[in-house]
Parts: sequence; structure tokens; C-alpha cells
Amino acid sequence: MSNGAMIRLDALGKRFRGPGGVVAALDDVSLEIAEGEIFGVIGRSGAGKSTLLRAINLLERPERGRVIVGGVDLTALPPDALRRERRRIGMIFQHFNLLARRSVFDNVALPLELAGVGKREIRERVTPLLELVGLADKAAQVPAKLSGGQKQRVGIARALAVEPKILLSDEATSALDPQTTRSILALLKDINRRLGLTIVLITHEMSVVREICDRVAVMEAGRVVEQGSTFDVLTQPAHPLAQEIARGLEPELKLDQLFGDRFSATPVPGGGTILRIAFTGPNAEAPVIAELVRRFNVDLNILSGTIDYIQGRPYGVMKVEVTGAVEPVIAHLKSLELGVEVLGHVRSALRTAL
Amino acid sequence: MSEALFEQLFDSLDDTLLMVGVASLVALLLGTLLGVVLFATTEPGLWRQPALNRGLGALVNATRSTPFIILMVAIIPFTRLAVGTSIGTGAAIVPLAVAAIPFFARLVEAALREVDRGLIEAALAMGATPRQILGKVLLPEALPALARGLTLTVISLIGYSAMAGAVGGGGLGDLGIRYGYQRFNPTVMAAVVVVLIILVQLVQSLGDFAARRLQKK
Repeated sequence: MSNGAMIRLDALGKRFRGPGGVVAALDDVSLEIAEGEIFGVIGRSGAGKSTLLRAINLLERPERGRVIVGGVDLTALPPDALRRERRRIGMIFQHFNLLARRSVFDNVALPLELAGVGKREIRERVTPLLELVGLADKAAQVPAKLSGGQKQRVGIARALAVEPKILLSDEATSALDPQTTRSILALLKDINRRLGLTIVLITHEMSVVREICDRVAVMEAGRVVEQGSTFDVLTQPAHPLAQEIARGLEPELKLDQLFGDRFSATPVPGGGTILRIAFTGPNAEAPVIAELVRRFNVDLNILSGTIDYIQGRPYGVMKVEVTGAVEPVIAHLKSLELGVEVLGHVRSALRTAL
Repeated sequence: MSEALFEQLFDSLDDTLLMVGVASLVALLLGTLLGVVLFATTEPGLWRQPALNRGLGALVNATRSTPFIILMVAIIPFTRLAVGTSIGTGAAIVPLAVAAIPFFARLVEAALREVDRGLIEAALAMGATPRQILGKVLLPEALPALARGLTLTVISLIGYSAMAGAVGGGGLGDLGIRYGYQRFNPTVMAAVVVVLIILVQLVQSLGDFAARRLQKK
């Protein structure tokens, strides 16, 4: 399976009857997820991400289409065979779904018990898993005594107990604080590398995707509206929703509040222009700003600037107010293959005062 | 208090314990089974059978809405079939069990519904069979609630067993009615009530203790 897709979703369709009529949770969704990659699905709540994730192990059976995992068409399997295939797909949950009356050890042992693994082998397999997730000293505790991050670590160890090829993550960090989220994401990345595990995660947090996903799909109203490498989708989003989500990572700049009456949606003679410059492509690291000032004799006022690392590649975004002749500036930036966009215009402060 | 009264009190306590004990045991076994079926027949991941669920639900409700004294008389043919007689302590056990089974079954069903649905989903994702989901996840997780339900059932049975005198079942309630009430003997009446209070108190404390132990694990 190394060159084929680990997971192939083929024209999935599913509708739900909601209070406001029939809603499409999955509308002709096709996706291919390669072995060993971390694939993210992002969208707002109700976009169908949860249904999509649950279609992979058929917890939610689609009405149309096929789900092919590791070359096996799950949609065609009888219940017994489906249960065997499900044992090769681990799953972790937003609310952990641990058994309150079982110890940490016994929670991790549960999938092994269900698979009919003997007591001695269970002991041999659970202990290293608890070490892997850093909870070897908590084996005898009950989940109620653990923090949220520790509970999710138990969930991860439990999901890995049957040595799955795939891990499905259902908003696994959404109930955790930012610091714990980072440590859980680091753990997921680590097991992805060490065990060659394919991970599919759904989230509504762009930061989760940026942190660990190789590729990402953006969902809206049951459809995948955009997909690609995380870097491309985040730096050059095409669909409006993808743009909105990607921009969500940048510091919010309310131009009309910043400039008040001076802000204008249309060009103002003698005024300034607000540009958003995205540092992507071959010249992403060139010292552009100083060059603009020297070569084009314009005034530059930096409104905001960020630099981000997405999948290890730097990605900067800067918002500047340019006073002077703006057209040659835009043309120059485009010739450098940087992303440039006009966000608005401002009247000159001097002129307003007059 | 005379020695004869003591003897009668102990004999009656024996009868009560026998009736309540056996009926509770039957309710525990068959009520759990019925409760599990009532729950599982509504669950898509387990054994969804809407028609069966409605049928059993109606039967349970009918049994539970029949006043116990009427139920006891109404099922006399069945009692005779089950234990070979329609009078005596043995004959009183049958209607007590018949009343307790649907009562406990509803408590079992409620206890199972209390378990986080996410656990069913997690177990399904692990490839668990419906039987494993019930045996390894739902019933163990519901144990504290089941212990409280059983306590409630036993105490209700102690109350019902007072009516066993109607079919010659004996027991504390019967003693209280015949000797205490009908023969105007306040000593007997008081003694019976005191013994019943102690009995119910004991059962409740035992049940609370068990539920607490199960909760903490």
C-alpha cells in the first residue's frame, strides 16, 4: 500500500433530517489520504467534518459512495468483517470517552480484551504504551484523578493498543488549554513519525492544522471546498472560507477603526494605500521593505507584521500603508512573486486637518 | 413482650426475608435481562428493534400500573402453574417477583441510559460486538446505579410483602395486620413496625455502601 492511498473516500453522500429540513452532511465528498501523512479536515461546526471522520470507520454509514481503507472496501463488508477492520483503526475523542470505573491500565487494555488477547500479552503491551504517552506512573489511577491532557494521553494509548495503521482524531484537543494542546499535538506528531501511523484529524482550530498537518481539506455544508498541502492552503487560499480561516491566524486589523473617517474603500487622490504583502515563493526572505523605500521613493508605515512557520517553512504577512505612487510598488512586489492585495485607502491626515 | 410474641416475630421475619430474598433474586436476574433488552432495542449500535421495544414497554407499563393486591389475585392461575399452589409463602413469592421484574427492569434501563453515549461510540470504534459493549462497557459502568436500583427494589418488595397475607404468605406485614390491627394489640403492631424500620434501614445502608464502593472502584 505504500504507493496507493491508505484511505480512499469515493463520492460519499449522507443527509440528515434536521429541524429546518433535510441537511446534507456529506455531499459528494471524495478524498485520498496517503499512508503516513497527517491529514486535517477543518470547517465550522455543522460543516460535516464529524460525519466525514465517522464515515472512515463507518460509525456513520454514508448513504452513497464507498469507503476504502487499506485496499478493503469497508462499505461492502458484513458486520463481523467490519468489526475486524475497525480494530485496525484507532480513534480518539474530544471528551476522551474513558471508562470511569476502569483504571488507566485497564482502559488501555480494553481494546485488547475485546480482541481476545490473553492476560500476559496485555500486560506486555500496555506497559510500553503507557511509557510512550508518559503515564507509566499513573497506571493504577482512575481517569477522574487525571487532568484533561492526561486523559487524552490515555485515549491515545488506548487507540494505539491494537497497533492500528490509522488514527482518527475527533477534535481531540478542543477541550484542552493551548499549552496542553501543543503537548498533545507534539505527541501525535511523534507517533506519526515513529510508528508511520496515518492520522486523520478534524478540528475547527486552524492552529492545530498549522502545527501538525501535512495536508488539509476545508469543508463547508457537506462539501470539500478546498484541499491541498497545508502550506499552500494557508498561504494561497482560493475559496472564500479557506481565505477567512487562513486569515484568522493573522492579527486582526480593523482598518475602519484604526483610521476612522480617513478610511476609504476607493482610492483617494494624494492619500495612502493599505497593502497586505504575503511573503511566499522564492523571494520570501528578500529584504523587500527597505528596497521599496529606496527605489520608489514612497513612505511606508508598517501597520502589522507576523512571521509564521508552517510545516517548517517561514511565512510572513505584513500590512503597510504606502504614501506616494503605489502602482510601481505593486508591480514590483508582483514581479517578486510575493502575494499582494489592496485592503483599502486612507485620506491624508494633513488634508483632513485643513 | 411475651416469648410467644418473640417467636411469632422471628417466624414472620423469616417469611419476609424468604419472600423478599427470593423475589429480589429473580428480579435481579430477569429484571436485568429485561432492562438490557429494553435499552438495547432502542440503540442502533446494539440491537435496534422498535416493534419489540414498544411491545415490551407496553407489557412493563401494564404490569407496573396494576395495583399489587389485584395483580396478586389476577395471576393466581400462573402462580399455581409456577409453584404448584396458590396459597402460602411460596405462592406469595411469584406475584412479588412478577411485580419486581418490570420495576427493576426500568431502573436497569435508566441506569444504562445514564452511561455516556461516547463510550458506546468508542467501543464500536474498537470493533466491539453488541454483547461486548454490554458486558465490558455498559453494565460495568452502570454498576453503582444498578446497586442503587436494586436497593430501591428490595425496599419496595419489603413494602409489597406486607400484602402477602392476602394469599396466606405470612410475614411481618401479615402479623401486624392480623394480630396488631385486627386484634387491637398495639405491642405487636409497634414491634412489627420497629422490625420493618430496622430492616429497611439496614438494606438502605448496605445499598449505599455498595454503591459508594463501586463508584470509587
